[in-house]
Amino acid sequence: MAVLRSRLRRAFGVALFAGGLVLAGGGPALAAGEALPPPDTKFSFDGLFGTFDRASAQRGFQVYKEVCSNCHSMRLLSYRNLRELGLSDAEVRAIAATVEVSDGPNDDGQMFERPGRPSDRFRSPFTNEKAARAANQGALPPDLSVITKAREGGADYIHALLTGYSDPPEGFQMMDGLNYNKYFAGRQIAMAAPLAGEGQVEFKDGTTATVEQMSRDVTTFLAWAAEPELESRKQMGVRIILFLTVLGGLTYAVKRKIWSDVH
Amino acid sequence: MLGVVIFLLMMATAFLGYVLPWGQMSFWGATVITNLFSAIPLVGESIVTWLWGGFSVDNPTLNRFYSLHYLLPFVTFGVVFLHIAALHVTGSNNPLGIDPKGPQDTLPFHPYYTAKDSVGLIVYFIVFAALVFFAPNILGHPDNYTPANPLVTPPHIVPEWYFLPFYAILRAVPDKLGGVILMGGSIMILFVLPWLDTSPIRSMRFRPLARAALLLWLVSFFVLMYCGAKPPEEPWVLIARIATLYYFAYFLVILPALGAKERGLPLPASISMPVLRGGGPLPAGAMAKPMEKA
Repeated sequence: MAVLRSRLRRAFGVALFAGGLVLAGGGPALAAGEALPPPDTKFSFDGLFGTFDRASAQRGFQVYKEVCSNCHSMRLLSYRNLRELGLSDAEVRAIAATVEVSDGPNDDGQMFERPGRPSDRFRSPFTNEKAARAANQGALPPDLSVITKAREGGADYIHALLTGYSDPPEGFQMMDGLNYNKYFAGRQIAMAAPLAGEGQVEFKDGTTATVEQMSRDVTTFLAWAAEPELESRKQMGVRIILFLTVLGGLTYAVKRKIWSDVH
Repeated sequence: MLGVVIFLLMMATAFLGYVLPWGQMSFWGATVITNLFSAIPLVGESIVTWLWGGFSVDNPTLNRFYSLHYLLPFVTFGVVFLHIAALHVTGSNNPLGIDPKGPQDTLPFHPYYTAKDSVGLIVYFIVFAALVFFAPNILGHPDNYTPANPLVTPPHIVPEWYFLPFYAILRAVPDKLGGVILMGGSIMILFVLPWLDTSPIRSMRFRPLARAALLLWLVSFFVLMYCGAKPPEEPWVLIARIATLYYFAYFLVILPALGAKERGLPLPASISMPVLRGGGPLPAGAMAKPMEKA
């Protein structure tokens, strides 16, 4: 039902957008304005027993740190959370120390800068929304803390969006400063293609950084960030459903036994 | 009727709880629903301001909704007690809708119904656990993972799934006040159901026409639910209107008419006759057993 609703909602959004185009006199390009449903991508965290591929999520963090974090904040995460991805204490400390964090006030009443600590939240690229918009032609880069939960299609959508950039088809009217992306509602997105080409990021484990690979890794990282409880949740769920199935069998046997002298 | 009160309290508690995460859908859902009261002539605007604790949905609204969300379950609990007390006045109904004529027609609640209901409860738990552990977001809305922002309206505001039929009724009416009245009426009508259904036969099993009408009413309910999830545009508005029409026609026209005209099937002589095929003797120890166990 959720999938159905999502389709409908997307269709509705597109209809609104298309309506806007009609009013703007852009009649012929209408059919091209509809966003494609994101293809179903296989991720390590899919399915009943899914877990996060740690290596992929670590690479994904690297992609976030070197690419996405220039514009997108992740305000709900702290550097210490990265230990859950298998990074050592020393590595987490080193990562945190690479950013300057504003702290204070000190005894003189002044704010001061200090190197980050593992307990600090991920540093935001902009100090406030106005600064973010000013640096991005008026568009606000959304916070990525729970982005896979905050978009229809979840991780599939994020992966599709990151790999969905292309040149607009013939006759598609682009607005100034927007980029063509067939998975985005209205197909015009303010974010320029963030993963531009192979080798944009140099992975330490030697994995070839194709756009597809970087996108998949960063999507895994974002999915982990949004649902760090996913693994324990699913493991617990399997156990509980097994338990309830046995208990259900027992209660049914008891019911049969108790009712046997009535029927 | 106490049941309908419990139903309304549950709906209120659910709605208040949905506001608490304070995401986009929470905020705009609260805005839409509280604004319904502004449809009331003369005092509507004042009531809305009073509900909000201000001139828009804001922190005071969130605070009071939190308190109310905590309070209403206790109220519900109290009404449940009244409901049980009322049950002991009239006794419980049964699928055949005929009064018990002796001990062979009844069973003690424990252990028979406790055992039977345990099975149903576990089946429910399995479905519930599957949702909680494997699809916790499927019934929610992605927009609610975006913090509430009074300056950005989501393109399509939808309530939680269990309110969709009533939401569809609300939107099926072009007039705001009319829509609010019909939406409220769709539940309030349950209060007067005992006077609308005038048939002397209590069970639908022996009223083939009324039974068909009831099943069709269920269909209209689910059609409304489907329309509630759709954007308010054709053909969904038309379909929702037809379903709304039938929803009310069932209560206001069909039930009273059938109550007067329909001649039901013959009723069985007693409850144990059809259930136990031929009356059956008193189940061995059905009455004494629970006592012994205690």
